[in-house]
Amino acid sequence: MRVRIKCFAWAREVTGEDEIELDIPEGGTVKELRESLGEKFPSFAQKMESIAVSVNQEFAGDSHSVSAGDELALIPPISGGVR
Amino acid sequence: MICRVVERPIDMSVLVNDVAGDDIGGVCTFIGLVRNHSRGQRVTHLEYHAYPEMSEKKMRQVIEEIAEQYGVDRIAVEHRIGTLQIGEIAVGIAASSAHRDAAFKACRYAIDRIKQIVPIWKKEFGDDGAVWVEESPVDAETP
Repeated sequence: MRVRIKCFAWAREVTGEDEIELDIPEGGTVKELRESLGEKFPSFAQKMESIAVSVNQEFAGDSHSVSAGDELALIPPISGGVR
Repeated sequence: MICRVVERPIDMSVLVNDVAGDDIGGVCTFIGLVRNHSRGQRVTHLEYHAYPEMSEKKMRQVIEEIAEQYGVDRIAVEHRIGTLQIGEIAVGIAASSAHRDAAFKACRYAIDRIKQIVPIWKKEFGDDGAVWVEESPVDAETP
């Protein structure tokens, strides 16, 4: 199935797009989304550990399932800051 | 209560007034400013980018957590995005309660937690170009 994923911060600079489309298996998970992402954009593969994925505006672990209509986004490390 | 991402200057008096009231004994505020240096380098200005819908949702989550943990339910938060100059307010928080201790704790928790889970990114511009600030990789299992 084809899913659309919002890109922010440096993820947007890597893809050059506000939103990308990826193909993942029907009933796939965030883990499969990451695999597809790494294949299409090799520069993500090295930094994959630091990117979070959100599903419908909630952070989602690798086992979280993904549906075609979900609102998906790549969340690079947020600004944080020294306390 | 105010909880929003804005693209204009933050007026702290608006946030303070939002949490004030006859039953309030103290208002505690936090003001996050754009600093002129970072990691030993000069900073000329910043750009803040957000996932706006999720940011407001996660800021509301922080406010709910504070209500549960500290019993403080009057909190106003604004985070600014776009291009900010040195000395401008990037984030403003006001927390109030009947007694000061809870207001201090709520305000401290709010800024720490916002910087942990709210999807807003900061790009620093300096003499050597621009860099995305990456302090907090999000652990998807905990937030």
